[in-house]
Amino acid sequence: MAKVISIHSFRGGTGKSNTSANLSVLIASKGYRVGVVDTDIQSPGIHVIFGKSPDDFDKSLNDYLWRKCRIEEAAYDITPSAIGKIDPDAPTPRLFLIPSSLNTGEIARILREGYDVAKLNDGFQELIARLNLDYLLIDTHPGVNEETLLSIAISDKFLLVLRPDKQDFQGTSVTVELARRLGVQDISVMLNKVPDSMDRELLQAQVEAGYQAPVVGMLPLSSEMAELASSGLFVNRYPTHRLSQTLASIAQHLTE
Amino acid sequence: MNESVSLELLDNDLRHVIQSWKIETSLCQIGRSTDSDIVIRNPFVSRSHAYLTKESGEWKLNSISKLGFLIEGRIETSVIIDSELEFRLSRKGPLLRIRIQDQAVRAAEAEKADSMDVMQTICENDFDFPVLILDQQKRDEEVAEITGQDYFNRLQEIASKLKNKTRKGNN
Repeated sequence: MAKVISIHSFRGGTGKSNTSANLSVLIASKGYRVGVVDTDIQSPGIHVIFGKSPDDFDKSLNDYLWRKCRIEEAAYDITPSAIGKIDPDAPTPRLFLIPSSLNTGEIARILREGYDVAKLNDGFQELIARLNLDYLLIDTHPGVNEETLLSIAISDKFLLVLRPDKQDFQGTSVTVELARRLGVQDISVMLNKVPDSMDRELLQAQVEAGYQAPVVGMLPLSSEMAELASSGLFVNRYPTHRLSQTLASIAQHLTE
Repeated sequence: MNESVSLELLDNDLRHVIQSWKIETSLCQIGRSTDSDIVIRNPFVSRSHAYLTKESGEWKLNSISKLGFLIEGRIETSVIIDSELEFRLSRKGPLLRIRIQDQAVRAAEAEKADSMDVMQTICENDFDFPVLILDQQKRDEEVAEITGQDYFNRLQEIASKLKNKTRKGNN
């Protein structure tokens, strides 16, 4: 049975897309078939972390939502660049990216007309079936809107990414509660950009008390990550960095 | 030492303070995007440009943007701040100054100048000792606002149907 994992944050700038991209590589590397969907249609960006440009894709999630193509036509096998050369006939590991369109006209159309949330759900299910996926990761749009709630609702696991910041903390609590009401039982929290000066135990205790959900990883504020900005996969470039090790243990938690 | 840290935006030519922020956090993001802690609306500033951090007692400015910052004619990406630093965000960007002062000195100076009028305090939260305590009432109100809408009920239905379906599929 494929597992759907949604990755979400209340605000932008938490490192959510970076986290999603790196986790998808770590999970696929365990020998799974993984799809990662960028539903952040209003400001798509995960493809940049995979080192891709819009020219690399002629179909996107948007084309599927406007019924211009089948969902699997918008799925790109990025295994060679993200994981490394493997036997082309080997079924695993495989990593597929389903990008959103960067075309401003397309983005404007989504904002103007919205889209059929049920169609998005059908798309996820078809994607899992056609590509025979073990895991589908959904990189959601920050904040709470209809498609984000749908992604959460159909998730088996839900990972929240936040910074140790009052506003992030308060805002995220709303999403945690909504996810519970949508029947999501496996909710976990990743704290990102934690300065070394902070008391990590105290931080973890406060977050766990507030959300009644486990903190599965705390990532330091890293200048290496900052330098890579949004271009490049951190876990490939710095595989032994403690940040990569923390991400690996989060990947482990998500695949248990 | 009780220190007072401020960031000032300076006029390019006359170098007087246009705007200033009091930094009361050990992690502060500077950029053009509105979710930055310090928002600087200038076309030469990246959406997320730099971080000002205090680590192990030292204040540091790190650039996340490829554009970096300009100090004495050179582009840098990371610098430790001793007591005062004047820099530009990117080569042609706005002129800024960071000052780390003793609180008493700062207060005396502020009394003289009227620049305090434009002083803003950012991030009341002290990051060295973060207090993350939930405002549960506020959360419950926001949750109720969303769950009270039709689409939330529809989603709950979709979610439960799907879960039943996958269970059947499993059997």
